[in-house]
Amino acid sequence: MTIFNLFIYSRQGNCIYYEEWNRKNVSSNLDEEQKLMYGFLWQIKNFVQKSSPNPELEKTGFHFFRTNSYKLHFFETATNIKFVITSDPDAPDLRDLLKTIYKNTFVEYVIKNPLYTMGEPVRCELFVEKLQLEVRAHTSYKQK
Amino acid sequence: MIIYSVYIINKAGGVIYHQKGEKSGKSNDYLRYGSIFHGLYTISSQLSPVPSPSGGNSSGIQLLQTDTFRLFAYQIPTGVKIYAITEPTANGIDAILKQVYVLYTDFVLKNPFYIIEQPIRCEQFDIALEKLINSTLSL
Repeated sequence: MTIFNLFIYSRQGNCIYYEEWNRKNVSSNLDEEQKLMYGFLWQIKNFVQKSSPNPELEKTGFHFFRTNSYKLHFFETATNIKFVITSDPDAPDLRDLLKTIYKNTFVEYVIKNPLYTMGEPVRCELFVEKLQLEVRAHTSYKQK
Repeated sequence: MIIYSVYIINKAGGVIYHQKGEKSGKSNDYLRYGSIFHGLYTISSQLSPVPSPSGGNSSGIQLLQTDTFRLFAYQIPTGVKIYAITEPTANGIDAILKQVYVLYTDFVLKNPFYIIEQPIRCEQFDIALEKLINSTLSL
């Protein structure tokens, strides 16, 4: 099992952080890909909400989807910051990892950083360092 | 387990069959949702960070998990997609989708009055599919 890439989107829909590990399909245009991913997630959220068998329930959260080559995990915070991670299709639900990244790394080293402006791309050295540690230490990261 | 609904989408993204399970929406919106799914399926294959294990492009969404339901999709080689919305803990729906495909070939494709890519109106298919879905209730 392994982890491929991570996207973090601000509430305005801009990709504020991107990182990749062990990715094999190199993207020709990363900027376009990030935008496509955001649009895709927006549409999935919409679709999931409408397709729900219980439309009366206020909120239907989307957890993950799987194809034959990867699995995409999604976590949205109450402040609409979106965390997306892709992994091997056999990986378990990685929402817990996304939640710890949010709670222990993003809040601590980005939100609490006085020099960081909300909605701007993340350029906090400590965040990058801690994120690497966190992801690489995760059981799903180990190479097959 | 409960299968809420089954959709069949032709290769152009049009909904050609919709089995309306209990608790599904009332209006004709399902035509739109089916087409949205077709788009999502294609984009998910483009966004893949790795090639397919068998080489070539990744497939599209095969399983989608949410708080309230699970969606299983199966694309047959001609580009027709079959997908089912089930309760969130359902398992092994892949095999049932393949059985739906068998019913589709038996009662729809072999029907001389059926025009390919057009909405499916075959009574025998409705009956057989209903029977299949009811048989999964006890699983």
